[in-house]
Amino acid sequence: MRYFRLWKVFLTNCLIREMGFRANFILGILGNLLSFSINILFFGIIYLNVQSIGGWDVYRTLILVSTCQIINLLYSALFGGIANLTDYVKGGSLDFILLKPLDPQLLISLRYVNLQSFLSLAFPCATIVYVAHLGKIAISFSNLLLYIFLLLCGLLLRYALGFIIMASSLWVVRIDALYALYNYIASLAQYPMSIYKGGVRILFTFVIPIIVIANFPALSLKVSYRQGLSFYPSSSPSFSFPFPAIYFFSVFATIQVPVAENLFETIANTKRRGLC
Amino acid sequence: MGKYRKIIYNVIQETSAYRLNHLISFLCVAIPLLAIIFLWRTVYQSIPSIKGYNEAMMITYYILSTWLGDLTGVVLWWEITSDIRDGNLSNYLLRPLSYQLYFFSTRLGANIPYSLIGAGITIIFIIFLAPDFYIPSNPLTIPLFLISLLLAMLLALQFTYLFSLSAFWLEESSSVNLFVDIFIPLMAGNLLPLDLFPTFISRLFKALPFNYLLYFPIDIYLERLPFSSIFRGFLVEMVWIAFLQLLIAVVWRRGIRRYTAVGG
Repeated sequence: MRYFRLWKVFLTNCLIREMGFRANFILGILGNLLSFSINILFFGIIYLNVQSIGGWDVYRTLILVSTCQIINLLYSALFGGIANLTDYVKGGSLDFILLKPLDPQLLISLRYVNLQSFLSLAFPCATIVYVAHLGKIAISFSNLLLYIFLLLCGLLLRYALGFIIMASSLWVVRIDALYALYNYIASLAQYPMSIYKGGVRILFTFVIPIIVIANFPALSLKVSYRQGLSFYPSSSPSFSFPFPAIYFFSVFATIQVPVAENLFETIANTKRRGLC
Repeated sequence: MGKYRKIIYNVIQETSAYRLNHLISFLCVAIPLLAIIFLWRTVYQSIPSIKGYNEAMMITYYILSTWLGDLTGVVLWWEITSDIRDGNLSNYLLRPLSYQLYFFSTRLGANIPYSLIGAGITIIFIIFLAPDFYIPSNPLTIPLFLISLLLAMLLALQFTYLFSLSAFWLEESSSVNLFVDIFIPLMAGNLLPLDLFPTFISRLFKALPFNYLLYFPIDIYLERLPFSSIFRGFLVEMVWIAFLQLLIAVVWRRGIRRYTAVGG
């Protein structure tokens, strides 16, 4: 509760800051909308020429692209502030953060709320509803819950991976380029996972689990109650999506966060000792 | 000409000092390419050719467009906009050199090491992921491609310069930036080969000068154009280049009249 009140203060503060540059604020939202539309356009035009990509029809793929956008927007809305960690380390203001009577990871991660990203969430959400309507995809209530649960797992995973990279800036200081690279790697998430083959698939599923963050929730939205958890009709040439995958995914996501947290705590503690 | 050669040489030396930086920034561009290659390979499992592009040609299209992306890409060049806004431009106005040629030289100098490192990574990509990379059969294709590439680089520099000069009038460039970052790559063919768009849009994009930045050179490389269209393309492109140079002269003259050297 205390944390929530604190977060509300962050939110108000960021709102006031953003409203100082209103035109910029609107252009930022427009930019988010345009880049999302470009992604939709890209897949839309490919599907003008083919029926399916590795077992994914146009509706599934558009839901995937929208889901990926939701995760990316939530990530930048809530946790965008972690990108500033290198500046704290370089500029020395990390010391002030460590001395505050508050969990430093919380302060670093949640201090800056990106309202443009929050408002931009409307576009992918509307797209999902519209696509589900067009594709006659029945979404039951329990299905929706599963989708939201997996979406949050994906978000956590995205955050944990980002935070692990940023936390290592306490050792090597200059990590900006690596973090930028991570954000590019995250763009792999918006493609149907059945396109990835061999080593690349293993690398981005188990080592840097980026392709699962949007694919799993997008796949789960296809489940309708009667079909159980077989995500595709058996005639479909694509892979099946077994239940253990969900289990593995959620466990993995929940494990990653403490890993990131521990890493940060260890480094921060050494720093703190140095301060005292 | 000697002073501009010296500028190019200096910038090459300066940027070569940050090789790792170049390596990572090129990796940033190459990672999405990985997904694109996998995606198109999967698409071509169910269809032999799309609008005249077979699998090898499509993969080659994207590999080349990634490599050329920076060389022939249009950006809003922050050095120009900040020079104009901070009044730094006065320093260059006092020197016996043309600001446009100075800018062209610095860009060329920065691009040469970057594209060489890019070429290295591209070759690794081709060896491991695209052994079917398209090699032109006609020996004339490569020289024609190189000519189109030079013209495209010149066009890209002109557009970059022109859009950056908008800082004379605009306090804030976000809207120009949006146009430059999102619409120009779309019209140049970065997202998709222009032929894949619906006929009307594809015709429109091909009538605009932006297609000469990327789509046209790659189409020459892929030998999809007869010689007559290549030469017609060169002619139209050169007319655009001349027109843009005229426009730049007009914009520069008007801009300088507005320029107040704030803080300079």
